[in-house]
Amino acid sequence: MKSTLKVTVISAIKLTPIQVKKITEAVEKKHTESKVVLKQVVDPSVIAGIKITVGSEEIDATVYTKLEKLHLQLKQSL
Amino acid sequence: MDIQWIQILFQAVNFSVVLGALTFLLYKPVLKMFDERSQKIAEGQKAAETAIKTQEQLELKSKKMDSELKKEKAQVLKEAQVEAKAKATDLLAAAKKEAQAEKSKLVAAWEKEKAALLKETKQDMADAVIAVSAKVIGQSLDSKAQQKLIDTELEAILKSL
Repeated sequence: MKSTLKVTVISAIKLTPIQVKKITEAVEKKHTESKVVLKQVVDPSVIAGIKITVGSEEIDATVYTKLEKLHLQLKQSL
Repeated sequence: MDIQWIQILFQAVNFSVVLGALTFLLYKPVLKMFDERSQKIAEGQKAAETAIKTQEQLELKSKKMDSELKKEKAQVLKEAQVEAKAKATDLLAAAKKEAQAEKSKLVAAWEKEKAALLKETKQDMADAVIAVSAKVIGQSLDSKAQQKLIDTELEAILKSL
């Protein structure tokens, strides 16, 4: 029996079915022994971009995070 | 004319007696009185001379003392002036030093405050820039642009998986 692998996708707008499919397929390809369960979350506070959490791994490509990093860099450079 | 020798003798004796009496009773005391008076005058003159001499000496001494006092006074005044000048110079130097130290302290404090304010301002500006950027980006991206951005990011993420 396959174990369940939770995948959470956060974006500012709802993803298209094609995008969902792409993500599911890519994760399944990497984690063949697990059954992928994708949960989609719409959060306008991320501004734009996408954040994917696969198990304990997190890939953040949201505009909010990029701006936060930029903010941090700016503050550190002062 | 007969010379009356007896009468002449009598007159001579009489004259002698009168002369003797006058000499004894008047001439000698008068002479003595004159002598005493002369002596007194001489003594008085001597005393006056001595007094004048003493006065002159005293005047000389007084003048000398006065001169010495003036000299001493001038010396004391000069020394006091020199001392006062030295003291004034010292005080001025100390005051200048103190003022300089105070100025340096104030400048340092001001510089520190300026730097802190500048840093705070820059940080506030960075906060504002990011906040405005977030707002502008959020408002400027329409649904289509959002999807395109997601596609772009997704492609990169899937490659890294």
